[in-house]
Amino acid sequence: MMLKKIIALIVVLLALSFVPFLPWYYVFMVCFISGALFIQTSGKEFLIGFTSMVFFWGFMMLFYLANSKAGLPAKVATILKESTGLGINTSVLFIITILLGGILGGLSSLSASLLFLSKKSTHQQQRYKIKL
Amino acid sequence: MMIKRFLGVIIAFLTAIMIFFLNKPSSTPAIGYLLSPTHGFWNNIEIRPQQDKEIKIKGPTGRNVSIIIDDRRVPHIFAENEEDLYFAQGYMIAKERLWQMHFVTLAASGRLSEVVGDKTLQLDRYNRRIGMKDAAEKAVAALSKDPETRMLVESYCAGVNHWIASLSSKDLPIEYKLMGFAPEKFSPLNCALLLKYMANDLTGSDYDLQNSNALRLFGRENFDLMYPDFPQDLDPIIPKGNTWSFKYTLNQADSLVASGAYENPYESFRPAKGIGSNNWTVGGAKTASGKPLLCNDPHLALSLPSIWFEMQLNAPGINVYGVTLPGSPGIVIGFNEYIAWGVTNGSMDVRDWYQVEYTADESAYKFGDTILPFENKVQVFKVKGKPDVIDTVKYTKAGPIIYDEKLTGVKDQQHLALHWEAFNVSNELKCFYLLNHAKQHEDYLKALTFFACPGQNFVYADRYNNIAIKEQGRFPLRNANEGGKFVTPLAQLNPADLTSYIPMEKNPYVLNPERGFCSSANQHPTDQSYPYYYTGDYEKYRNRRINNVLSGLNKATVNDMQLLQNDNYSLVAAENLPYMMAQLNDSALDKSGKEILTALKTWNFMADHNLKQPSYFYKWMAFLMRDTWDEVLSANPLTMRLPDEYQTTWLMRNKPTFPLFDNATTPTVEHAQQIIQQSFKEMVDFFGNNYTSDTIKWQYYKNTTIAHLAQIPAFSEHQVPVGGYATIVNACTETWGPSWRMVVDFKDGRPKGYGIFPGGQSGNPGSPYYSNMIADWAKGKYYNLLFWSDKAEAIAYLKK
Repeated sequence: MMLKKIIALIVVLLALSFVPFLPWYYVFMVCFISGALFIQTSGKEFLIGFTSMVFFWGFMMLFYLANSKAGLPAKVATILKESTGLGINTSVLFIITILLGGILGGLSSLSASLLFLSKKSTHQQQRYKIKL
Repeated sequence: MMIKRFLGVIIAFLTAIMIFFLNKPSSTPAIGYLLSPTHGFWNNIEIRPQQDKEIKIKGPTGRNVSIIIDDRRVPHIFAENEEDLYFAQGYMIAKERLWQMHFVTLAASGRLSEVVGDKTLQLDRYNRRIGMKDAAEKAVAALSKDPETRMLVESYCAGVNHWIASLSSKDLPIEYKLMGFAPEKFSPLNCALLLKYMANDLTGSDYDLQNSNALRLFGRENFDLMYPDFPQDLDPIIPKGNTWSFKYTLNQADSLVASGAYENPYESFRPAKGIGSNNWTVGGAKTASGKPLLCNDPHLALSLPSIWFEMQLNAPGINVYGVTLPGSPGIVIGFNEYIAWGVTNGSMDVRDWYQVEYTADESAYKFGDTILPFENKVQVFKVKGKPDVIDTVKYTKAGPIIYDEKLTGVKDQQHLALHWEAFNVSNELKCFYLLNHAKQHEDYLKALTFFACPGQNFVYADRYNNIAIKEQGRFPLRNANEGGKFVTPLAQLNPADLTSYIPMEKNPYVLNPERGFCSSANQHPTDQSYPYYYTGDYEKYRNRRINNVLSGLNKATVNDMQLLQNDNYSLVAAENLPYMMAQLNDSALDKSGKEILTALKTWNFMADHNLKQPSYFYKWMAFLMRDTWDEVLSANPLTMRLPDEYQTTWLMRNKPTFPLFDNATTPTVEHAQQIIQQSFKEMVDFFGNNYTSDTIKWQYYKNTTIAHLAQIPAFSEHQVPVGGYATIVNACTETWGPSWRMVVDFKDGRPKGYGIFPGGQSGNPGSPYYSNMIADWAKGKYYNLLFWSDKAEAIAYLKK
C-alpha cells in the first residue's frame, strides 16, 4: 500500500514538473491525475483539489506581488476594469484568480475521483476511514 | 456506481468547457491564460531585472558572442565577425522589444485587423492601398542583391528568430497575452516594412488636396498670402547667399491644377502634422575644446515601448554606439570611433496626387493622349472573428488609386492616385551600414548616396574637425513652378515627370561653413536662389532660435548644447505677444481678463512646465487661429488646412485688413484687432470656466502623454512634467517630442556621448526598465553613454 502511494506521489510530482512547458490549463490535468491516484470521498476530493490550487496559485501571486517593481498587477487590474466596467483592483484580481484556480482544480480532482471510483476502492476508503 | 461515473464524465466535460472559454480570446483577453500565475501576466513581472550582466550566445558562424549589459540595460555586443554581430543584435532587440517590432510591421502591412478585429479594417485598407507592403517587397529584392545588406538583414532576422524559438506561451510579451495573438517568424520583409513605416511617418504631410481646395475657394491672391512658398524670416539650412555651381531652367511656366473639390475622410490616418527634429554641429573654432560638438533630437510620436533602443555594436572593422529602430539592423543615429551623425526630417514634398479620369466602364483611364487599362491587384484582409474582406485596388502609371467610393463611401468621390517616392526601389539600410563603418568625410558622402526616402538632413562631424550637413533623398525634379503643390490631372501629365529627379549630388549640402556651425530644424533647405523648384512642409521658428543661440556661442560646451536642446523659449510668443497685448482695448476687459493680461506682461516667453502664461498664450493663439480662419474650417467636409502660426501672425502684424480676418457670419467687417480682442475674451472665459490655479499650469493644460503603441492607457504615461511646445526647440507637444536627445563631444578625439530618451530599454510594462528614463528626460538630464573600445574595457566595467 505504502509503495503504491509513494509511486503515486512521484507520478504527481513528475506531472507537476511539466507545468512551465505546457499550456496554463495543464495544471488541472495534474489535479485530475492526482484525483485518480488518491481516491477520496467526493466532497473531500473537491476540497483537496480546491485548496491545493488556492495555495499553489495564491503563493505564486504573493511572491510576484512582493517582488513587482513596476506595478504590473495594478496596471492589469486597471485594464480589466476599463474593458469590463467592473470594479476590479489588485485584491479583486487576486481573489478572482485563486477562486478560478480553486474551482477548476476542485472540479478536476472531483471528476477523476468519480470516474475512477471502484467497488474496491470504496471499500478500501471505508476501511481507511474507520482506521482513522 | 454508474450514476457516479456518469456524473464524473459530466463534471470533467463541464470543466473542459470552462477551460476552453477561459482560453479563448474574444472582445476580452483569454482570461484564464492572462490570470494564470504560472503562465499569465504574472510571469511578465521582472523579479530580478538586472540579473544578466553578461549574456553569451553562439553566433551563426559558431563563434561565441559576448553581450555586456550596463546599468541602464544597454547591451554592448562584442562579436568576432559581423554575421555574429547582427545575429546578436536581432537576438537582443527581440528579447526586449518583440511585440513592438511585430505590431508595427502588422500596421505597416495593413494586417492589424487580424489581431484587433474590424475596428482597424479601414486603416488597414488605407495602409495597404498606399502600398507600404508592396514597396517593402521591392525593397527586400533590392537589399538581397547587395551582399552586405543581405548578410546584415539575414543575420539579424536569424537572431530574432533564435529568440522567438526559445519562447513558450508563458514567456510571451504581455501584449500578446492581452490581445490574443502570437509571434510570427521574422523575415527581411519585416525589416523593410519598418523602414517604409518610418517613410510614411516622415513624408506623409503633403498638402496637394488642401492646396487645390484653398486655391479654388480663396483665389490666387489670398492663397499666396495664406500659403507662401517661402517665409519672410527665412533662415535656411544652407546659409543664405550661397552660390550654386549649377543652373536649371523650368520648362513650363506654371503647374497644372486639377479643379475638383477634394474630400478625404481618412485625414486622421496620416501622421500628425508638425513632426520634426533638430540637429546641429558646432565646429572646433566655436567650441571650448577646439573640437566639434554634434547634437540631434528627432521629434517623433512619443510612445511606449520607446521608438528607440540604445546599443553598442563591436566587431573587427566596426565599433558604433547609438540608437536603433527595433526591427531594423544597424545604428540609425549615433557615433563611432571617428565620426558622429544625426538626422532631421527633410520635409520636402515627395507625395503627389493625381486626379484620374475613368472610362465609362471603369476599366481604364486617360493618360496623356491615350487610354490605358488599369492593373488590378486584389488585397485580402483577414479579420479577427469575421470573414475575410477583399479590396481590389486599381493601379495607374502614376501609382495606385487611394481614394475612391469603394474606400471612402463618399458620394462623387474624386478618384485620386498617389505617386510616392517610397514606392521606388532603394536600399536605405546600406546607408546606415556604411555610416556605422565610416571613418572620414568621404565615407559619409558615399553612404548617403544610398539614401532615397524619406529625405533627411544628415548632420556630420568627425574627430578631424570637419562638420557638414546634407539634405539627402531622391527628390522629384519639378518642371513647372509650383510643381507638386496641387492635385494634377493625370490625363494631362507629362510622363517624364514621374521619373525625373534632382541629381543627388546637387542636393543642398555644405561642408565647414564660414559661420562655424551647421544646423537643421525642418526648415527650408535653401533660399530662393536654389536652382530647382521644391515645395514642402517647413518649420519657421526652431531654426531661427537655434541659429541665433549658436551664432552667439564662442566657447561652446556640452552643457551649452544640452541647455539648447531643452530650450523652452517661445519665439512665436516673443514675436507676437507684445503686439497682441498692445492691440487689446484694456477698458473692455473684465477683472479676470485684466489679471491674465498682467500675468502675460511679466512673462519671459519661456514655456516652462510650471508656468501658467504658456497656457494663456497658446490657448489665445488657438482661438485666434480658429477665429481668423473660420472660412477654412467651415469648408468642411472638404480637406483643408489652416495656414500656419507664422503666416497667420505675419498677416496679423503686416496686413491687419486682410479680408479673411473678417468673420463672415457677422454684419460688421472685422480686422485683425477685433479678432485679437475676441479671441482674448474667449481664452479668458475658457480658463475661467474650466481650470483651477493648479490645473492651469502648462504641464497640466498641455498634458504631454507618452502613449502605449496599442493605446492601452494603463501602459501609458500621462501628464509628463515637461515644458516646450511645437515650434519651440524643446518640441514637446501633447503627443510628440524629442524621442532621443544626443550630444556627442570630440574633445578627446575619440567621441564621448551623452543621451536619453523618454522611456526605457525594456518593452515590458512589468519591468522597471520600461519607463525609467522619463522623469530624467522631463528634467532635461542626460546619461553618459558608455562607449567602450573593446571587450576588455567592458569586462573591467563589470568587475567594478
